[in-house]
Amino acid sequence: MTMKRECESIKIPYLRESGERITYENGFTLIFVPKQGDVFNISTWVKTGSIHEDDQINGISHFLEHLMFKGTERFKPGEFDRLMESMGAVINAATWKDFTFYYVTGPQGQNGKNFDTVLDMHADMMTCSILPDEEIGPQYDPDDPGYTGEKRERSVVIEEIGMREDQPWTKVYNSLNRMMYPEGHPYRRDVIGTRQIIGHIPRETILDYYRKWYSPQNFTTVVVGDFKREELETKVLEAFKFNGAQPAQPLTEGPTITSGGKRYEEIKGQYQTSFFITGFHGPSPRYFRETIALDIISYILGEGRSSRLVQELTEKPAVPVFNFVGTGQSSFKLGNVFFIQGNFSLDDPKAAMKQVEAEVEKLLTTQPITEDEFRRAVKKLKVAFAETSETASGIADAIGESLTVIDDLNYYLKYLDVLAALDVETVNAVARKYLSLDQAYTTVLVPES
Amino acid sequence: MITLKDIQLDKTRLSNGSLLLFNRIEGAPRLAIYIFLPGGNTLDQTLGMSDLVDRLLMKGTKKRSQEQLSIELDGLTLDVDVDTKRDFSMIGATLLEEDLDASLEIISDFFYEATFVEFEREKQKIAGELAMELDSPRARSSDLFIRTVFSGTNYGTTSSVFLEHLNNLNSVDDALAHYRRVYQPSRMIISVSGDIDPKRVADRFEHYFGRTTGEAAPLDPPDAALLRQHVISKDQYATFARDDSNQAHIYKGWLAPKVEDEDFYPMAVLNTLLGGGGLSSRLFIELRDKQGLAYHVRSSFDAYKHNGLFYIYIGTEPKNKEKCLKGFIHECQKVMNIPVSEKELAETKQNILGRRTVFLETASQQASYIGSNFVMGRDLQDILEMPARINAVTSADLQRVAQKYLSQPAVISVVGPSAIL
Repeated sequence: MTMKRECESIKIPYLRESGERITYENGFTLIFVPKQGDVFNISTWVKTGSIHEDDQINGISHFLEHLMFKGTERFKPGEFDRLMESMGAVINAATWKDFTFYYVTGPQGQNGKNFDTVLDMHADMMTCSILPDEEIGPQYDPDDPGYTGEKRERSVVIEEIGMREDQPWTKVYNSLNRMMYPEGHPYRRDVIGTRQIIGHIPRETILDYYRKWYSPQNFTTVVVGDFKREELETKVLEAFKFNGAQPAQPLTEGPTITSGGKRYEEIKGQYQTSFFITGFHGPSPRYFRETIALDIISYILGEGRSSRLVQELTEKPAVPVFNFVGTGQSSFKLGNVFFIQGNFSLDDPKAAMKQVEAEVEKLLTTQPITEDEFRRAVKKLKVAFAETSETASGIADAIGESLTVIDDLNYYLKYLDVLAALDVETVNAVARKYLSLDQAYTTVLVPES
Repeated sequence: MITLKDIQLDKTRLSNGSLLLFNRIEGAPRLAIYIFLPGGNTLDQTLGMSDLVDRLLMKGTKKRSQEQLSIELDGLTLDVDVDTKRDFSMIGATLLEEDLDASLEIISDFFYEATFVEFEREKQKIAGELAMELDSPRARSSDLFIRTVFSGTNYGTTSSVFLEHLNNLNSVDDALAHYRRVYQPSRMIISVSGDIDPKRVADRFEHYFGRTTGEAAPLDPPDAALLRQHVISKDQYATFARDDSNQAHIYKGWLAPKVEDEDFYPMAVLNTLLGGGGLSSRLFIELRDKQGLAYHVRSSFDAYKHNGLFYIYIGTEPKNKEKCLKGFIHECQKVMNIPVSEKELAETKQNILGRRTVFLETASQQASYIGSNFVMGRDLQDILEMPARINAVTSADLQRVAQKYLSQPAVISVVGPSAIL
């Protein structure tokens, strides 16, 4: 297959050889990263997730991800899993708000033969899945205790919903999202959907969704491993058989998030301890400086062993209330979220949350980030970035997310440069801009009695 | 890049008798250091003591307070993990070569000079953390399962057992005595992987870890006979009610070969075939793909120094409990009664060997793997021969170990709504 293409050499941090980014006229992006070693990774990232769902099809992206493993015209259901795993490859997929991705990490095998099989099957699965009715299983009401009919993948996802709902952190996170995003915002819904939607959604709707979003324009395929570039490109183009359908364009903007509304909520469950998450709306991930500054703030506030929340809330109190506390930043296309999460043993949740708020308030007012804290955090982020370069899958994940969520590979390629150019004043200003307590949303899951 | 199949292991004895294993990986960006001490939970005179000691190691030394230690560890970006397993304790760290001296100085400081000044506060923190962990229905079921299987032995030290014994661990002097007995430098097995001059590794470890502690009391050996002779004498069914749970979290398991047992390799292959091998394992295909009973179903084989455990886990809608348990029996009986085909056997073996390559990609993974093999009594020859030992397993071996172990009494634990217990 011959296609017009744009090719760009890319310098991959910590690797000796440069990689290549090739964009074809049909919109398909291929990233090749040469890396010596016995392990390769091939991943395809698709620019869809729950961001493109509504209340009628919530969970369809994730359900489709399951069904992609159910065969093509060439390979029967289960054959992909069997052949991949019979060479020792690790296969899986994940769906989140802005993306769905599929990966195979495998051993090169003798003469690098494994990769040819993996590429052939992975590309076939991505472009030619048939979503067989008998694998999806009949529609049924999952809340009907009398249902005794056949159960297939539809039921597997319903079980997964049950499993997620048994996790206290999921309960808190879902409740938080309902507060943080207005009605109609795509991030308000849980990625996995509801039991009723999954129980009833017809195959045709899923197939339509597959045709609409799984198109070359929405695909980025990343290959990391010890390969010859020219051979690799030829093989990839032969393997990916796009059908030429007109694709849908990914959403780039969401409904406006207005301040106001409920900002604190307590929910109850049969637990011994209390779980909380506090969320703050952050910058667009395309604002690299602010995004990376929030990574620094997160490390200083609640990620490191010496971080403020860890020290002040769990290590130093004579009678510890908090069993765990941590911070982080989630990158989302329509705006990042900075969060603080924790678990405590105290009957008065509001009193516990005041301790968290006091530390945030100090950061913004009387005790801004110091030069020492800043230096430690920058070094830690550099080392953490280097860590992702140690494995084929780490590199592929970072590139895939950069191109799919942030829509800009430079986030990955320039991360260390942006990090090096930040200073403590900028980071403190970013903290004041985004972590104001009157902009915080908190959900606490408290014991019933 | 040197890979595991080419492994060249430098073995050195430090002057205090401890063993240093070095595996060079060209181009590795970071160094990985794992220090193993044999014994783990089996050395506890009061259950949970080793776990408590782990937690206290980094909470202050003669030179540094807890906070100073934390600041310095973070300053070095030193990821340190201290953990006790059933048969060993371990300190693991990854670091940049430029920080080698500073990192070894700080690790040796808490290895030799921990003061346990945070004793009471740490106990309170542990109580809260364990309660949080046990709030997860699956964690509760796993805990219930293990403590029932190994009831009456130190292998049964789970989070809930630790929590129950926390009040018996009330003497800082006892904890310090345990620390001094267990953390004896001469007992260390140190495993290092990375891109660094081997002479420098040996020299720096000799400098920071070469000395002995002198006053260390002799170590009481674990009651190995008790652990080896431990049996599940009859089927047991343990439950814990969680009426808010959407799923029943079910574990079922049997005692299995220990590490040095000749049945170890056949059992490892059997586990991969039944439920440890991923999306293509039998339990996954039958109970998840064909019957839609679960999202998560898998089996595991944990071989310890003195005993072993094979078990299956499934999370399912509560009303499916009996169907799942029947499914477990059906799959176990199939493998006991029907020989596995040569094709399936060959694919299962290759699954194990290929994954071994995938999961030994980094310096940290390799150092941990090499060190943990040595602390469990294996050596380099065993590591190198592992593929051949896997490949030698026959279909008859699988049938034999399935009949031998899976026909024995079993333990089942279920956490879920009280109506189905």
